[in-house]
Amino acid sequence: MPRTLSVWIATLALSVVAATSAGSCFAADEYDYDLVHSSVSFKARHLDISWIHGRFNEVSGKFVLDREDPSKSTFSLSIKVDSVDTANEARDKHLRQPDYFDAKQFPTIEFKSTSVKPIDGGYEVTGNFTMHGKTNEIKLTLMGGKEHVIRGVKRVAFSTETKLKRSDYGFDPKAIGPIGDEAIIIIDCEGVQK
Amino acid sequence: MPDLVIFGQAIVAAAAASIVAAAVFWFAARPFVETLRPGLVIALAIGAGLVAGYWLLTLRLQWPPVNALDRLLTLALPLAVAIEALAGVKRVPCWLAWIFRLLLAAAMPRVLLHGSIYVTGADEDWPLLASWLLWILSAGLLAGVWSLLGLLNRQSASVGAALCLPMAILSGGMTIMMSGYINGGAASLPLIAAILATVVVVLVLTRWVLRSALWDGDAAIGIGVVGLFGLLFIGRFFGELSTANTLVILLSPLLGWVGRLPKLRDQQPWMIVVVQLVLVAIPLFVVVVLAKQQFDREMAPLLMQRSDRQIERF
Repeated sequence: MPRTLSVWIATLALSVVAATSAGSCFAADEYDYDLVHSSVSFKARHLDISWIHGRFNEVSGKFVLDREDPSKSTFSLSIKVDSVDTANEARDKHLRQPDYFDAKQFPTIEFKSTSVKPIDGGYEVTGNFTMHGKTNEIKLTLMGGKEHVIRGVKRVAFSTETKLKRSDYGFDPKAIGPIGDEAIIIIDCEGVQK
Repeated sequence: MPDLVIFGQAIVAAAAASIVAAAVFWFAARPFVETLRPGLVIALAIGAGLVAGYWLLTLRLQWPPVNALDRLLTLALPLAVAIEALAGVKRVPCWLAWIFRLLLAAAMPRVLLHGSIYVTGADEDWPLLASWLLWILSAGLLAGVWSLLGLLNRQSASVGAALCLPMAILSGGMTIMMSGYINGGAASLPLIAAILATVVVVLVLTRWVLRSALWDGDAAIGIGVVGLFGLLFIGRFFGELSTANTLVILLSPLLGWVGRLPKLRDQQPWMIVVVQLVLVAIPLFVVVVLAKQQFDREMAPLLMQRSDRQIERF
């Protein structure tokens, strides 16, 4: 009888351990923004006849994905304004000055999510977008979320595109004329699991 | 792009407001000549010109201030006007007025840098020690230039020192604008117009109505130096103004001290003023010419349509 009882207790203990381990496999995964395989780019109208393209080369961020309860997922991104790159050094210097981004006063552009909702093919993320000292709530549609494990490291990626008006973020209206007010922001981000 | 019509309107408004204010305050203050110095009239007149000029310039100043130009135009310059107006009351001793001036000089760099990468530690190129050094050196430079120009003004008792400042401010404004910071350069225009208009009106009223050779330029110099330093400081640390250009423009008015050399100071006052203005104008002219050349090389292709042949020239 004691032998049967001890076997029963051992089985019960193993089951508890197994259940606990299984539960942690589905907990939230934290990912760091992979700068090498991601990009934040933008384009704006020039004289309403062409597009000027640019990108930011120094971006960091992280996101936490909770597959069981997506509303608990979080996304955050920080862009260094100084890293603006439009393939023209004189224009980049001009953009960093106070008439435009004012990089020394407002060194970063930030996004922090406040709510996440799963949608078909991705997530709808609402959050605070801060640029040039002004914060506005925006909604991003992140498409993707497919995972890939390579060399034992899990990676996941999202894409999104959004439109912002510079006038909503305190940019000087006099500096908006030749370059359009609205800018299209394209973010392709790949995260590496921590 | 610079809007020349708005610039012209701002200059005219600043000059007109200063002229009217100077005349009104000058005549209103005459019964109180025992208790007031001419500096009070000059400070208030320049202040009126600045308000009118910046109103028309549509710089979209914000309160609370969010950037360095906001802090210069809504905090530093009004404080300078207030200090010089206070110094215009004879009951305020000169040493107290200078304490207020030096306090403003000490605080101004930190105020202008507030919230920027230079003080928040957001940039690893600017650790705490570097920020402190920048603050101390800049404050010392401002205090030094202000004191030396004030001393020159008192010793020479002429309008030369006060007239050198608008020239330096004009050179600074043009250089800042050509380095790509248009609003920063434009902010110099009402300051130049207000100071020049006030100085000329008060000089004319003093010499022709009062028949007096007395000249009190402390107020014009105080507000001018604060404005000049502020614009150059912002152009250097928030724009693309070089350190060399900043220092040349800021220190050039000190060439007015040549007018105190033994052989020169005994000449006719008008001759001394002309020599001072010419000497100060030389380095300012060189800076503006070099800035224009750099502008043509770097910025003009972005702002204007230029043929490939014109760009290849450089």
